[in-house]
Amino acid sequence: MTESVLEVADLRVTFRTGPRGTPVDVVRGVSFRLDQGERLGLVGESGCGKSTTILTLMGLLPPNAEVSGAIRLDGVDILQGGERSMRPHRWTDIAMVFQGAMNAFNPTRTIGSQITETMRGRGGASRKAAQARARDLLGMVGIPTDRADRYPHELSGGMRQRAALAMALANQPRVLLADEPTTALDVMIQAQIMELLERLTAELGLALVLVTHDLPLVVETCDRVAMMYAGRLVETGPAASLYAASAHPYTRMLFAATPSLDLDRRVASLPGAPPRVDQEVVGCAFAPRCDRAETVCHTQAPRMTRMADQHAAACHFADVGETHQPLRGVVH
Amino acid sequence: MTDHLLEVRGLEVTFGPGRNHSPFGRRREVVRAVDSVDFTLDRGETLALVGESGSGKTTTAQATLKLVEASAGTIKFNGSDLDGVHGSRLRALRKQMQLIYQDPYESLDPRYSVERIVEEPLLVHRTHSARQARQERVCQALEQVGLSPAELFLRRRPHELSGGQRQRVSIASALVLEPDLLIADEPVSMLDVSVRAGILDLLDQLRAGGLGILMITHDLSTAAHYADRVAVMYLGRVIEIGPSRQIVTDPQHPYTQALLSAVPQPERTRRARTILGGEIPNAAAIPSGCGFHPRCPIATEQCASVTPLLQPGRRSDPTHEIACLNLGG
Repeated sequence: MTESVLEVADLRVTFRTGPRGTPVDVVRGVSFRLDQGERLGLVGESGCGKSTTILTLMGLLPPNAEVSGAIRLDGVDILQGGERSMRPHRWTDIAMVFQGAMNAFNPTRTIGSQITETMRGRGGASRKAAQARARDLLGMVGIPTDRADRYPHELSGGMRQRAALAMALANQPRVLLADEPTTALDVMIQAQIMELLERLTAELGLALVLVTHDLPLVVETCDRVAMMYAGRLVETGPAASLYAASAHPYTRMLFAATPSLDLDRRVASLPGAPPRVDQEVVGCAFAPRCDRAETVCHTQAPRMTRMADQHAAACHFADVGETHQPLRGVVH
Repeated sequence: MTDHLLEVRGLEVTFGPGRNHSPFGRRREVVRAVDSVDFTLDRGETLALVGESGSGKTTTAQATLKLVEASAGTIKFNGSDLDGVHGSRLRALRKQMQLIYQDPYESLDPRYSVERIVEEPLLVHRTHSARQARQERVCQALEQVGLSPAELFLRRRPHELSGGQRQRVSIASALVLEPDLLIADEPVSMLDVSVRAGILDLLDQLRAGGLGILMITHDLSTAAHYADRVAVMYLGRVIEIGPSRQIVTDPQHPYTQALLSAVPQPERTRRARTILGGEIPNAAAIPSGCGFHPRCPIATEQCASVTPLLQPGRRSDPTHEIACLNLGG
């Protein structure tokens, strides 16, 4: 087995909110691993904990968050030592692209100077070398290098997202986290950015976590998909298997709710809403919306069960393949 | 030809330079946001305007409602010409044409209860003088959009509702005046995938009940599933219009083909398709001839000088029209 670049084990995040510090469990035991050059899609509805999960990997959670579990970078846990052990890896080993490329930049400074700054801040590069590298990076993401002297408002949304990508890549990270990087963009620009992400991961051996609610996009772009619901992973597996043979009803029903260009496929909305984060969940969190739920689903939480090679689902009635064995800890 | 609910002919909207002087002293250029747009919409029909940001789809809808002034063209609604209509007559006509906004998180006043929000149009148009009658009408509208029992929602405020419920409230406040035309500007793009189909199904029921719906969306999949016809816009012009199924299965214009190719499809890997480079140009600097020619894979010399007009394609269906000089070439 090849060594994983990133391994997340039983990650839990609880926010303390309100005057009495009421605990709210947002991430409830998430495990996955990521190999070099691999593209993982993390998919779920608003509030399922997908963004919190990757903000945890960046160590960018607010002070009222309590985190437990392990985040192993090349086998070494960086979560245990808190901010002191996270900081050296932030932006150098693990970098992130945010949803609103509009807000990723300071409007009063040029794109080039902001990319240069991320390298200078790390002590290494001289000003000249950093400036040259900034131009290289812009070229790599498909921005004419003379745009380095432009201000953020002078670039289109698509160009700004490319520039944000160049900035994230400045210190040669090995893991790139992308939180809905194309949600605010037109479909044509989205396709261009996705193509760029695919090329970069292949050329640089960059591991990618793509967080999105867009299932078709993920299946088209990623090698593997992790479906997240109410703070837990409910299905993980190769993108093609998840689409062709969804094991978890949530995956199947979310696919059915997404209009596609196949007009003969009926679009069926998913009834109900996810449980609120402050709501206690008994049994399977998806049971109230599930079209296959039975009594057991409302009383007993399902465990992650392996369906087939690399494909696992947490459902009492998942379509179980031949290798029927419960998985503990890391799901891959 | 007078029996269309809505008939738009030669619509043109330009912005600036006029009095719109920039505070930095530079004169603004003229922006031609909408140019020579023709379409019709019948009762019980949904027409989708599809295009990227800056293609003029929202401006077209706003001009239809006279929220922005058209610089040329005619708009006929329910048989009356909107040109030169002002004041109380315009208000009476607008009562029959209602708009649903994109973002139900922004479009509902957070201080108002659901009842107050849905009641507002009735107060503005002074349709029901008795409070009792207003409340009955509000409840009917809420039930119609699936917020049932309505009494349960009357006292709630927007923050107590989910995104899908908010959008239903927004639709209820459009329906409360019993309009003939509903303009839905990206009605589901701010909502979670799981609730989108529910809202779109609701709009489709309203259409089946006799409403004409003009839906604005950037999502071809949504347009294809929920609209009877699709009009694809590029730089202020309609470049292809026709029955949804034909637009999706047999696109004729190279831009429509590129747009379809960019839609993520799980059955296909990205390598199996062609992605158009570049971006939609600024509407203040529209290329000559066919606006799409600098990005077009099949452009010829004449495309830079001749502006193509919509005309039926070679295929049998005369309602499928394309604006391209190299049709079937």
